[in-house]
Amino acid sequence: MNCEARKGFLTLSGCENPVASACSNCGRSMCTAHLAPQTGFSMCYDCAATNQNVQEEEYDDVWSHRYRNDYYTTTGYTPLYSSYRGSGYYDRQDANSFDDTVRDSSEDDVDRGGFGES
Amino acid sequence: MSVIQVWRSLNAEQKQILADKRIDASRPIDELLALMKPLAACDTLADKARTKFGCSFALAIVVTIVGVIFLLNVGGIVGGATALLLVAVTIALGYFYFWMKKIDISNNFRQFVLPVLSVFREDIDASKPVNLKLDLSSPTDKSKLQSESAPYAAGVYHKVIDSMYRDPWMSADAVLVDGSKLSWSVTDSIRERKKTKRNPRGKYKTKTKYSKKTNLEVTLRMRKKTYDVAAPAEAELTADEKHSTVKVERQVQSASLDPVVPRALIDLIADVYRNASLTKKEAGA
Repeated sequence: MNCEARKGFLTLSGCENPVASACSNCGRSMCTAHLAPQTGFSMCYDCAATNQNVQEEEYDDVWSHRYRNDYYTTTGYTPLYSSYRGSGYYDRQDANSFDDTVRDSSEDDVDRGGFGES
Repeated sequence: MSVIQVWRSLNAEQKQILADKRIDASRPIDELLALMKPLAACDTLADKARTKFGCSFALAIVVTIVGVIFLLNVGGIVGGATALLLVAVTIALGYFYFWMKKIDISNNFRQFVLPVLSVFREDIDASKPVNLKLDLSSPTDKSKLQSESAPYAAGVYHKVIDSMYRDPWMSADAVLVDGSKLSWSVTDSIRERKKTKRNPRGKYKTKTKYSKKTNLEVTLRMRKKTYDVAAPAEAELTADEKHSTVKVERQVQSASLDPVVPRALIDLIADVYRNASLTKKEAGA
């Protein structure tokens, strides 16, 4: 099972890291990279950002999650969500193109018949 | 931790950045932030300490002058030693004050560059380098002077001189996790106005006022197979076979040399994304 955190600011995307533990506040499964050290790795950054007892350091991840929450709330910005995470060269569309090829060739078999029909 | 301890903990590259007041780096975002955050911590402490040292240095000069005159009149070994001690303390305070001025970098670094990169950290592809060029020297450095007006009179001021500075202090480009290529630049145009008048008591008083225009330029090259892009207001949209490119500019005006707020750039880039939607194929994936 993968971490349920949503990464990013301009666009959101899923995290591919394996789960380490669940957030003590929201219960979502998180990897170690998305658990706030200030909470003893018990709370995810989203929950830590909304908890006023959690101290932030200058421009750390708690700060950036607070900034993100505040920005989305005050500006109404809705980030696009894509589940795609990749190395950058081949993307999901490239992967899907193989499906098209398979479908096309199977359709060819049906439409054009085979040796048996001649 | 004192500023000296923090400065000692910096590596050679970081110390060189403070000396040159310049960053020209090409490395992944996490490495870039790891390089920059200790510099910000050092600059924060240096800014606070410099004010204290500056006041103490000014006070020490006055105390030393008065004290030395008094102690030399008193004479004796104790008087001479105390006078020497006062001079030594003043020299030490002056040394640290000027050293802290020397390692000072522009507040644009802490109040604009770091917040912007921290906000976009997870949007930037961690495996690809961010190309970052920063000029962290004073915006009114002599090398940035573009023109200086001849002195003229205006109202009660018998001598006014306008100096114009151009400071292209930031440019960066990065590949984002969605495959888009983002680049931006920030250029300050500054007018420094020095106004001199003679008050009724016959003293000359000079005031210096600044006004600044910050030009933000953003170019975002997005994949056509990922996004359907419409141009935001006053943006330029071009396209080739595989990409849509949006160029957008904004000017922010202020009456001081304070750094432009990070929000100005973040809004500009977010506006491009507001006008983009996932292609049907991407949205359905």
